[in-house]
Amino acid sequence: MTTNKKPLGLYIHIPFCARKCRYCDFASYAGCDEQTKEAYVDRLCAELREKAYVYGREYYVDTIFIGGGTPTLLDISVFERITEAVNASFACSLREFSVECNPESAERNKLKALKDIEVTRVSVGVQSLNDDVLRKLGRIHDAQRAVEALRVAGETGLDVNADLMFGLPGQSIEIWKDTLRRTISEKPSHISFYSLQLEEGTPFFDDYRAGFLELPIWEENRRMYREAVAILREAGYLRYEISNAAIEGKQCLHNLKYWRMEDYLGVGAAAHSFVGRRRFSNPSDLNAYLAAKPARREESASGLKGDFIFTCLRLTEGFAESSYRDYFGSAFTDDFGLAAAALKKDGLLSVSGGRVFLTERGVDNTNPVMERLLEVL
Amino acid sequence: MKDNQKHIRNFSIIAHIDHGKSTLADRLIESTGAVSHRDMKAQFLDNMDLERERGITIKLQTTRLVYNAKDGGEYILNLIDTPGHVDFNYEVSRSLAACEGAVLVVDATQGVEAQTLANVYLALDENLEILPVINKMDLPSARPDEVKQEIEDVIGLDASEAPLISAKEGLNIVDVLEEIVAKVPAPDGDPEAPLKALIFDSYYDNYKGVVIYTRIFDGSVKAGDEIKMMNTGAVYDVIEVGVNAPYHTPVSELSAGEVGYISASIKQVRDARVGDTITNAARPAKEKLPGYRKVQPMVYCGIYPTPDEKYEAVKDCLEKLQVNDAAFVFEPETSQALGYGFRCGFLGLLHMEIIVERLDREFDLDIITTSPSVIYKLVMPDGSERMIENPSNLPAPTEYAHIEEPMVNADIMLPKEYVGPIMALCQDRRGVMKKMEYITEDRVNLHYDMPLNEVIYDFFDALKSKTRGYGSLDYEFDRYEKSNLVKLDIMLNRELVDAFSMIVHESKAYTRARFVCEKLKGVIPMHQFEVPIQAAIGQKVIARETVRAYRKDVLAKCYGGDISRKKKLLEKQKEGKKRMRQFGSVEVPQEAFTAVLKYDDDK
Repeated sequence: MTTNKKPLGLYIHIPFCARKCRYCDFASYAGCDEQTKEAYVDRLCAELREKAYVYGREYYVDTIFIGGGTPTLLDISVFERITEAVNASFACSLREFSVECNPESAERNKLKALKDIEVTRVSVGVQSLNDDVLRKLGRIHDAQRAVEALRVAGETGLDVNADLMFGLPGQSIEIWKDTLRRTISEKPSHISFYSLQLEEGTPFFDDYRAGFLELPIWEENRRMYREAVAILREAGYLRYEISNAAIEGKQCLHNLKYWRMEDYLGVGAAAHSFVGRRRFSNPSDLNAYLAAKPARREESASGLKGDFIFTCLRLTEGFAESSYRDYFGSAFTDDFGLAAAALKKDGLLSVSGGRVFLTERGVDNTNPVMERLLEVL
Repeated sequence: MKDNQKHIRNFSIIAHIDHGKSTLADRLIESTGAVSHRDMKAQFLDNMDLERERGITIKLQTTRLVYNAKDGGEYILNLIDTPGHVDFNYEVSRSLAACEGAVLVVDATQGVEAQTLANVYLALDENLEILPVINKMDLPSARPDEVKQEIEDVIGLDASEAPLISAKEGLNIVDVLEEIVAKVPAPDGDPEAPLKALIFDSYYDNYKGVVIYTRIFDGSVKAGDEIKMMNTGAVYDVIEVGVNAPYHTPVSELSAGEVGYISASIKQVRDARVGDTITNAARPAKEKLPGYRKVQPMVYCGIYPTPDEKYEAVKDCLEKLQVNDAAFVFEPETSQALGYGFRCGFLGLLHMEIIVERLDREFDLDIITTSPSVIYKLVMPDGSERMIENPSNLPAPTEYAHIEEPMVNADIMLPKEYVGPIMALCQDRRGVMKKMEYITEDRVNLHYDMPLNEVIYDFFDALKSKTRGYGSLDYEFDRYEKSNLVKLDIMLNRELVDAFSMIVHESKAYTRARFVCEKLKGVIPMHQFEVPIQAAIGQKVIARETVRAYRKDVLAKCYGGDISRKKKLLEKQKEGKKRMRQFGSVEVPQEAFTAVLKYDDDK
């Protein structure tokens, strides 16, 4: 029944957390009662049916990613409800089914139950394996708990991603390397390593501005990044995106869709979609979502060409000039010629062998590079 | 007296702000049928949106009402509305000069206030018959007998016959009309004498050019006449004369005693200045009417286009505003920090706010305004004088003998329980109390000698907040006085930003410096590098704050396929840069310029 249909990534957002971390500006709410959660799942299942009505005829689902928030806060019966709703709404032929979890709620039984409903991969929010650092982040678990979660997930037979962060308060290069090594020794198949970003409106941002929070300086942050890439490579994890590395063949198929301009549909509060070259997003406010406020079309000044640059350049492999031409009918060098040439000259961008990608220095300066390219549009 | 003059009454309404002047004007217009109830917007005379929103009258309007009085006569009542703010005292005085009488509206709950008095004095200067009216009788807290007593005690007017009205409810409006007919003297003047007419207002009309509002004192004027402005000497051909009834209604001629408009293809309001005397060019009057003066701006600030806005566009709009506002002046100036812009002069802070707001609203301009400043007088070693309108032009102290600042007489009226806090406030603003009068048992009039530069910041706001809105202020320029003033400079990332320079009294330099640095720290975004903010007098840094560095060269994560938000941030950086002003390598948002003006009292 999937013949003649196009593949679609399905993202499902669960905006609930036991506690909001001090750096987090994602759509997540702490302290919601059971009633709200139930109403949310009701709405989610209804949205799945609505979306299937629009896209189900043309698409089948080949990857699912349930993210949050903390999806594993939900009871396993809720996961069952959601997957049933997905199966009832869309044709599915799953290549990957990921669920994000917090170490605190990654019990063996739950992980097993997830595997039973065909989840193939869990992404564990480890962040750090240093208790001081974890406390400063406002995480609810300690390092021990995170290591156990990685271990149990591996033992359950799931593909495991460990989410790590660097550039954190109180984190030295040594602490970071220690976290990396101890994570690697749990043998997850995939490791994400994000630099902390201060987002306006978070306690971290305010604390930093006011001088109450110390972070590693920029140079240190970049050293942490380079150390991570090297240590991971050594251990067999290849960086395939700015902040993602995996054992060969274990890249996250769902996330790759984001970076390859492939179709994905997001359901739930604040979920974003890119289907048929159109971007839209659901309201991020929980009540607005519950009230079934419609998704909003997202237009950006630099349009799809900007999107292409912005996403595809995040990949280590960048993109092929030919795929750019296939997508837009115009040549990358025609559209971005001067800016690209200048960036190339500055050693930030590589345009060779028919491929365009960021150099190592370009990766350290992603934003300025993107800005200069987007400016052209 | 000519027959037709007997049935003319020229009057103004004067009041303290919010006492219901405009509402009463509305009722008078409505009850004489000049405007049908259907067409009546609240406060018909305040025809700028801005005025209606703020509940204040800025530009005065004139309306001709036809009233059938109880004595059986048909009277023409020319209502000359006046602006209700201290900034516009001169305009008020010229409007009053066009009248024989003034209706004094006093709020039955508030009683006599600072501007009530100020306006009464202006009216008395013009020898007007003043008719007190007690308004807001619909309010339960109305205390008409006490207020009448106040009027008699404080102003010395007989208020025993004052109509007790509610303009809002339309109560006893006829009493006001009857009082006007009975008590305001009919105009006199010789219709056969050479033309002598007072310009009491003018505005720019897209089709007619400048339209002059005038009161004819002697002689007459009609279309085709050649008129001459006696003070500016300019000569024009009259295209049309008419009356406001309340819309423009052409008439064959305007003659002595009458009030109406003249259009004569005049290009700019400054060519038809309020207070000037119009005469017939062929048969000029011997003397002009008294009282003409060129209005002098009291407050200056810089207006600069944002990088994205065109200099010419701003210039055009300033010119358009000036065409309609003779009190507003501007000239080109250059700032190292802000580039090419204009130094603009205003009657006061409210006038400045109005102009800036109109630039934004009516013309949709993106502009940056710099700190308002008064005009300082520099006395040079050779005794010569130089006026400083822009703080950044103040030379080093070694180059001048001394500096003088404008002082004002400020009258503050308030309930006595607030005297303590207000005296503290005035003292903090370098005020010296000259006199304290009890107007009634509960109300006090404080007379202060104060530097204008302390009044123009936010003195009025502070006064209002410390007296829960019951305090009122009136001030007028008194003199220049030698003072210990210094220039406070602000440096961002060690570069002087001249647009932030201000002149302050030495005793307040430290507080002010700390305040400005803190404010700027709060609004300047984090950059890739540390941004020191320093305040200095000459070479000496007296306050410092630092905006922390934060580099965001790498976007670590785009969550759940949310491309748009982060991408927009990058695009916005481009957009945002437009709204930011670049000083060296530091980006300063526009709000920084206003943030440093708002003086928090709790600081």
